[in-house]
Amino acid sequence: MLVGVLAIQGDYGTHCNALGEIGHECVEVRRPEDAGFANPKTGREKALMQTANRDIALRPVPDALILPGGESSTIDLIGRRYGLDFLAGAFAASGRILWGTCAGAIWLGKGEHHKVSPLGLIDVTLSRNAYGRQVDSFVAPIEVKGLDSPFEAVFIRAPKILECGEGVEVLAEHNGDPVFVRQGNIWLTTFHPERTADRRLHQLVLGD
Amino acid sequence: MDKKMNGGEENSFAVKVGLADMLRGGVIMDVTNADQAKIAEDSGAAAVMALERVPADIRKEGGVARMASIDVIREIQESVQVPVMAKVRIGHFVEAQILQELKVDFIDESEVLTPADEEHHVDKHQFRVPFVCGCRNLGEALRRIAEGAAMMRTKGEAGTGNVVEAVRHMRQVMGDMRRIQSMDSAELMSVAKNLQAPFDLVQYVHEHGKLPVPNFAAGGVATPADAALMMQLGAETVFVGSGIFKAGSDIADKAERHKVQGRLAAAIVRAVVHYKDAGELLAAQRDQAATMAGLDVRTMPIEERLAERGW
Repeated sequence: MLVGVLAIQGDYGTHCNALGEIGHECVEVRRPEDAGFANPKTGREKALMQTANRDIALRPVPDALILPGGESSTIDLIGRRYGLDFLAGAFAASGRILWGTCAGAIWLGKGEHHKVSPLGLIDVTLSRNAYGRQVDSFVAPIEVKGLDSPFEAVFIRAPKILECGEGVEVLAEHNGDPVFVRQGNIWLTTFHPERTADRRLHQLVLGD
Repeated sequence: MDKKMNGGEENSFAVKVGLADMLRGGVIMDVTNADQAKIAEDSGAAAVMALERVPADIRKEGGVARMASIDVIREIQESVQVPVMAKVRIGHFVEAQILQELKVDFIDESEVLTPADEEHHVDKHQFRVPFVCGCRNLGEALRRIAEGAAMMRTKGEAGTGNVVEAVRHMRQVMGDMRRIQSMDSAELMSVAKNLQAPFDLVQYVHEHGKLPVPNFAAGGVATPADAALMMQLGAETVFVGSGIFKAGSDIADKAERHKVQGRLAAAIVRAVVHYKDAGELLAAQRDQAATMAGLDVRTMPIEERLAERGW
């Protein structure tokens, strides 16, 4: 499977390594063109020129797109400037797998945040930095639907899921809060599944 | 040192390195007040370093440079949601205890401040909060990691606006790692001896060709091109100290000055995200409206060089 990883900032390198370990090809996505889409924020002519210059016409569209953890305000600012909000929307509409982890989950969901305007592609409301600062970051084992033993979940300045709409399936909880949810082709984890050597969550989401 | 008091056993090294990894590809900017912190966050900074004075001013004003005042750090913590870092003097573990109590997200045990201990660095394993330290070469980096640093950065020469020392340090670290990676395993003990570095960390570098923690650049980065240079040399992201908020410092009008500094900050963020894309680098470099004046490190007496502090 070809999997795109949003590579604006944050833990994209670790996701790419994880994908390689389970036999998937990874492409770093800094512009919609990297994932085979034209950029709606540059004019038609400019887009054509860029296409000609960068062999973008030949780039394939990945089967899945992962939005990694990082700083959500940076991802929102740079992501919108380069039309990656459009790309995420196109992935959501196309039925391809779209997976946000931590900051990526904040961006795909809903909520009122300082300096972040989430895309609202999934009916899940989150709150940023909900556990506190870095000294409040932690690791905890969680039970995940579809896995037969607990998964070590690494929470780093993590968000909390406050509310899930109808049609959102909760796949894991920590202390009663949902931490892994799914609505159709869109998946969110508030923790970092790429931070341990356990690849079962990547395999579960990518349908291996 | 009292591990229980400092909370070191409650938080794994993985959680500390985790935050360091989240900052990769994101610029960390020195700020001295809430206005600057907001400009940094609005420009796309992934974290800010709360300081009382930027290194260029510390250098100019002299005297003993200590950790920033609690009020300055708290004001900055309250004005942004990105991680807030702060500096302690080398070896000053009580300043570190205080900053951890204040819940700063990362502590920089920094040569920019006046060292409190010329023999020993802080035992960073004892703390719950992660630490970053500076290095000039691989031996120094591995010693700091053995003490518990969760992130390394080059020392460079802070407050000069001159990237030459950061380049020297990054080339030294990357070159040493490439050399060790290609060695026969029987040669590693002699490397450990010569680098004065722990053997198991030398083995890690031999096997992986990289440090076990993120490797960032700092010290003298002043322009978008400087930032991309450090990235192409192997840095996983950059700290920008005096470079942003000393630029345009001759502009009297506050709003105008902030605008110029915000544009420079955003241009540096752009250059780091697209560090391998020359078209983007051209656009970023064009975006900068001002640059801080620089100092020639070669004419600087050795006692004024901050990178000489610590070992």
